[in-house]
Amino acid sequence: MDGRIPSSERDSMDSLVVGLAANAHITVQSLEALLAAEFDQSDISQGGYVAPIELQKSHPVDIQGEDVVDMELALSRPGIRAMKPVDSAQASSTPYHSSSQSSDVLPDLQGRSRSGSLVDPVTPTWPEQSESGTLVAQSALGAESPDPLAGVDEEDPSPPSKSPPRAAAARKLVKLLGEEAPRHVLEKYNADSKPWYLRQNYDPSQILIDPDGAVRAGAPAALIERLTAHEYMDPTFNQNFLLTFKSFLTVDELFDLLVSRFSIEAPDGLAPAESDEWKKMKQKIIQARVLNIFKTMVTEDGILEKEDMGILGRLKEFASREDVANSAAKRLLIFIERAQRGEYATVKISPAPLSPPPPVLPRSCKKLKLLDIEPVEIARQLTLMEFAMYKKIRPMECLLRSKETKPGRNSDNFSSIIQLSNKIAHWVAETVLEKEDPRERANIIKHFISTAENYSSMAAIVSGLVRQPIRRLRRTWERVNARYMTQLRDCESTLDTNKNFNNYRSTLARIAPPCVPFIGVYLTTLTFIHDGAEDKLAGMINFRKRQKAAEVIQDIKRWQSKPYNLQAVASVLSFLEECVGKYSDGVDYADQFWNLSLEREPREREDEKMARLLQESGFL
Amino acid sequence: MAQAQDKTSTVNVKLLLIGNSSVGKSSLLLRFSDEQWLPEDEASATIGVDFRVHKMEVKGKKVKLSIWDTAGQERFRTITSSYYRGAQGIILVYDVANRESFDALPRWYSELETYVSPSVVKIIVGNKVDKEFSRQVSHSEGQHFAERMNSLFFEASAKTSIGVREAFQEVVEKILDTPELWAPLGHKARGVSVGGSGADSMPGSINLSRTESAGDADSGGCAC
Repeated sequence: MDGRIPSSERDSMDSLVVGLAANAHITVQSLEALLAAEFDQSDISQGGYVAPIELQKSHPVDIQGEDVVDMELALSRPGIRAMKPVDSAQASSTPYHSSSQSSDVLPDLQGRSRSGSLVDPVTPTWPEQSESGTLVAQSALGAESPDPLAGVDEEDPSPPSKSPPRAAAARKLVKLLGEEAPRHVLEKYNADSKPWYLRQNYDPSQILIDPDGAVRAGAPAALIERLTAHEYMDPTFNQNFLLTFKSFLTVDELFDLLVSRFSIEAPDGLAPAESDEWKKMKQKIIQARVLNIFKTMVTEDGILEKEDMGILGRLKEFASREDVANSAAKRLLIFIERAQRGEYATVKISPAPLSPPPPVLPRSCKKLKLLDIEPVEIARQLTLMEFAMYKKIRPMECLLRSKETKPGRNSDNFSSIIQLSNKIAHWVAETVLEKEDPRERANIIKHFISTAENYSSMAAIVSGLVRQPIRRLRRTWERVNARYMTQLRDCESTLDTNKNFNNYRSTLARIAPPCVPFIGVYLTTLTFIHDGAEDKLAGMINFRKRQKAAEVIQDIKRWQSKPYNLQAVASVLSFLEECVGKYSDGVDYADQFWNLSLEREPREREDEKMARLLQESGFL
Repeated sequence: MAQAQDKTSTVNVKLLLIGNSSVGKSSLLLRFSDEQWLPEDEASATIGVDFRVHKMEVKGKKVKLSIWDTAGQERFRTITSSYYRGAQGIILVYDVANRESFDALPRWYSELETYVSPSVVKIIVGNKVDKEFSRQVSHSEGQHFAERMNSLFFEASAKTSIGVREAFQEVVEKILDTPELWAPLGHKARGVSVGGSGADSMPGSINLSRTESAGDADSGGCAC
């Protein structure tokens, strides 16, 4: 066959030689890798891996081989892009001779095959790769979505599964351990087996991966590479990255890094076939991933803030570039334009399908008093007030909150919730104290106890009722019957600080949205994340720390996503706003409430108390 | 009383960290606990836990120390009242490079008057002495204020760990030396129950074990 190389391809002889050399090198590497794999396997068979694998049980491995399943793709195109499991890849592969004879395979490929058969006849890796590559390309074509706006991801070709030398080790590991095979070990086997030009670009020292496969730390460029990796997709990492990148990169810096990632250039010395493979298996995928990240940034709530919208202009410019323009970029342009018109900012949660329960309206519409309004309706309207505030919390505020330097100076959405909470507590306390008659005070207390519905107002109301000036009103509490006391005690124990709000956390874990959580717990967690871990690890971004913060942010977002199916009642809302509006956050009401409390129920000695009790019972 | 405790039994001590946000309360706690018994790389694993249990030996006694931190909730002025329950020692933290955090101490003291018994040991810790160049509160000013408030005083740095261990050690020693904090249960509760309504019928009475310190503030030396 060598003698029949067309003359037109003589020019590429030089690169062919380079390619051959590279192939020989790869083969040597493959052999070494095989050897290493054998060692690893013998370790496994001796049980050497049992302990670390035990630790990984919570991370089910992707049995389809080296590719982390692309969830977006998998969900949007069920069944079409079936990836071959590692096991079947070997079986279904065509022998390379037939594949090279039946198609116009470039001479470089033949050279590779030959070198493979010369040096390493046992591992005919190449034909399998080209074979499965073709399969995926076809299925990707067949999957073209009819809806041009269905998503940029439609064109996201994922790398086909391959059966590289070390994959044998990975296969064996999967066979041995099934779904429990540690993903990072598999990834490493598979990654090491790739041709050099298809591997990651970053230096392995630029990233630290934890045993569970999550990123512990990394240099920004390495993190960006992982965000847009051609070899796998890690949706959790991507989500965490996008929620927290602002703590180590500006939006413009991220944009620049992503653009330069898009403009990735082929390494020097690639033969034409290698170059083709590089384009198909690496460049195209990376570029599609970059466009996808941009799409996510533009369309998803909570990533770009109002002040970040300037990036849309740059993004538009980028998506219109000649070397970028393709159908995905065109769709991205449409998304950008929508974002520029503010469409995503105004897209709100869809209203509940059911009609809200009818409000319990107060009988008189004149000047409202607390006891005129049913507790359930006060609870509902308070909930609406609080949910409206809670819904506004932005991921960025969570990051800022945790590194706040000047307390009390910032007026973010957290502050307004805290202020409302403090004001409700003041209002509760003073409303009780205002009443001169202990029976009336007890009625107010009972009314408020019945009002504690969502966790945010529950915290405020309980805090108002159990503060010392109220707690000490013995003659009042004597008139609050057991039913209410039990209810109050339940609230108290729900919000008990013990074991880091253990009760509260487990209660919250049991319920489904809607709910307004008590944000104090989130704030403490964010503070601990911030103070408890360094921003950098060994000079790299401590991504574990960002991951932790992202988990809190997602928890907060979870309760934001579902609105209450309740009807606002203007008269009650304005009554409540007026009541809590009397208090200002900076003022310390403690002394005022103490004095009022002592006035209502003065301290008394035992004899004084006896005298009062006798008098009250009509004995004297 | 502490003195009455069996030598072999463990003494439980509850400490509470308070002070403005960003003064480094949680850093102090993390520094203290890291140095004591946490290997470096496990520090991140403990993220999100607001109190620590730590065993130490003070004056030949085994002490089980639980340290509570209100970090992040400073501005919920009254919500954290349950934090105060049963605390025998309060660590008030300010930042020596942040005047405002020092000026806020009287407000924290007024909260303490409401929630804890006067016999509870208080210690003021001026944190971040590593920021000497931007110091806004002198050592002597801090010292004088602490004396006036009848509190212990330490300057420390969670960053360099200067003074951290000493501050915790000191406050625990003082607690062990304060007999009122070790009064047997019921001593105070009796006073409450004479009134006809048991402590149970009052709100805020979960965690009954040491509610009597709050009762102290109510009927006893409360400064209202």
